[in-house]
Amino acid sequence: MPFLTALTHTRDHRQLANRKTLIMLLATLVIATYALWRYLVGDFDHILTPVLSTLLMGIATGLNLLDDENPLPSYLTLIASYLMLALEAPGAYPGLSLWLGLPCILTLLLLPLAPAMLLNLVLAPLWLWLLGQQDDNFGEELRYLCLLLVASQPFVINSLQADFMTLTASEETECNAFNASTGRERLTSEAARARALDQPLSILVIYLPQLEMLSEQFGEDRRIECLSTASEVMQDISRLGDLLCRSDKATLWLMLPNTGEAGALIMRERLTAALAATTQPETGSIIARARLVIYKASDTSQKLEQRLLAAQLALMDLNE
Amino acid sequence: MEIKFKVRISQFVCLLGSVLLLLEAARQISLGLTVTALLLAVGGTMLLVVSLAHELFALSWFRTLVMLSVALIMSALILLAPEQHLMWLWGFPVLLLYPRPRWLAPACAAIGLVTTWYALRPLGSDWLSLGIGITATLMALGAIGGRRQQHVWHQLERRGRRDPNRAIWSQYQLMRDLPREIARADREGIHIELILLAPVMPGRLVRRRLMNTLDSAAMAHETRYILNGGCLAVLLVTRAERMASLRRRQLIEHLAMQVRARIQPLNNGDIHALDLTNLGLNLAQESELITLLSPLSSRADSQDIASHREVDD
Repeated sequence: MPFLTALTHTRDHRQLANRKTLIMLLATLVIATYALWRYLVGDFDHILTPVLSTLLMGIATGLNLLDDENPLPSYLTLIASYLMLALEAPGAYPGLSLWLGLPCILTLLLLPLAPAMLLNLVLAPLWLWLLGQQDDNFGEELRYLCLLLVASQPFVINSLQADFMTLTASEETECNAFNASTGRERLTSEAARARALDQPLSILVIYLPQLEMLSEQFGEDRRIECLSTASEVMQDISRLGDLLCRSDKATLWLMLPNTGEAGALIMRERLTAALAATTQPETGSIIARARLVIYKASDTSQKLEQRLLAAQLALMDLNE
Repeated sequence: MEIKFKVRISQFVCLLGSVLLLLEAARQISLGLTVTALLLAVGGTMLLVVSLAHELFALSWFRTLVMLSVALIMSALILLAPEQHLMWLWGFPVLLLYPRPRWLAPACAAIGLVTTWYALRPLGSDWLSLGIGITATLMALGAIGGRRQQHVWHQLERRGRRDPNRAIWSQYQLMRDLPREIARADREGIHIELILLAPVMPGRLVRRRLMNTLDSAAMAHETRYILNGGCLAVLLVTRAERMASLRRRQLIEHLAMQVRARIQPLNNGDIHALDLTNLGLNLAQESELITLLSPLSSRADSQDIASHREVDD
């Protein structure tokens, strides 16, 4: 059942965010241990940086726990790591260019691709000067650039795939329905089919006014749950040939091929009644407003689409 | 349009990386022929191949080969010449971003950890523990990125289209559409059939031309699909079977190129009896222009069989 993947996806997402918080917590503990070790050894010249980094990492972990979408924790973590690398690593230098590759990989892993690449290119001279070896300079710069470019490859491929996914997906991720672009294509082909086979075609524009309020008051999870339940109810009621697609945040189109005005009106009554009978934990029944648009033989598909959008706007106005 | 531009950028980044690697290899070879220089040259050539033939990366064996050889080359470089190449040590977590097939990520992680162990052991236990700790943390971050990407792949498999700029749907979409379309056609009493099309001449350009002419030849309600095997399919809906054969001829004439077609009638058909990979197999070598396939076993029959099986059990 595709609509279940929406819920599992959000759960999966939360789980991964929790894991990231855990990793950040561990890193904080490691730096804190390092600071403690400096204190116990009595090396007070080098204690300020690790303490500062520990504080920054602690704040970042807390913020990440509160809101995992915010990029601020990643930036705080980066600042803390940059501080440690810039001020501690050159002093504790084992005679090799060990630390040189670390900042650019860390940036790539923590930030989205574009800002990460920008930051890496801007900071490259700084890291080469701070962490690189003094002799064999040209070769080291070359190798550093190679590492940067080779390491960015998987990120580049992944971001390309993500873009491609959003362009070619045909289904909604939040509910069991087709997405808007697929819906438009299907509308064109349904209209052509109705014309070719000389059949009637009706489309119900269904607006769910509660969704906006739900996301404001109870959070995204509740909104997705309401939307997926509503679409599931609609799929249950409609025949196998009917098409449900989501055209807007809170609006769905239900295409009813080979259905005249009378049949579509009956369908509308059944639909609103079934949705009203469905109860949700916090909001009670699902309210739905629906309007009927009937395909006329003189309509082009653009004209039909415009009428659908007009119906959609009228439904939203009615609500306000 | 936008996506093409981005693909070009990624190819350029890859090309730049390979050129720089080859440059470093040439520089080291000019200083003296060593194993590390040769390894750099091999890595650079591999990246060059990847950047010039991006499509190869879609093949799973090629991808696995590239990822594994990158991991092995990095580890060899670090162990053979640590004074120059020790910074590659931090490159391993990045390989975890591409965990496909499933065993690839743990394999890369294992290679990375073993390499870190051997590379940092001469520096003393402090450095060793610090190095392993940092590598493991970065690897965990990389694995999270890999898991996020798995969701994207999952979605990509269920995508409706192969090409975002064209109204041609994927095989996944066909399998989702078919039960609906068949039920509808049966209810309304109209004829429905699937036409499989393949050009006689092989080659990608011919196939693309066929796709283009099909766009103009087929009407808006005759949905086009591209199957995983590469052959094209059109879902034809007409009022009666006699009209279907007329429309079919008209469609193929309109294509104005040498094609072979197989017709699968779908009325009352059981979708589970439909084997699309078998259906499109060796279509171009067919002797007749149009081959009519026998109708699918009907849904009632298969239900009978299923109920018989239940009785047998």
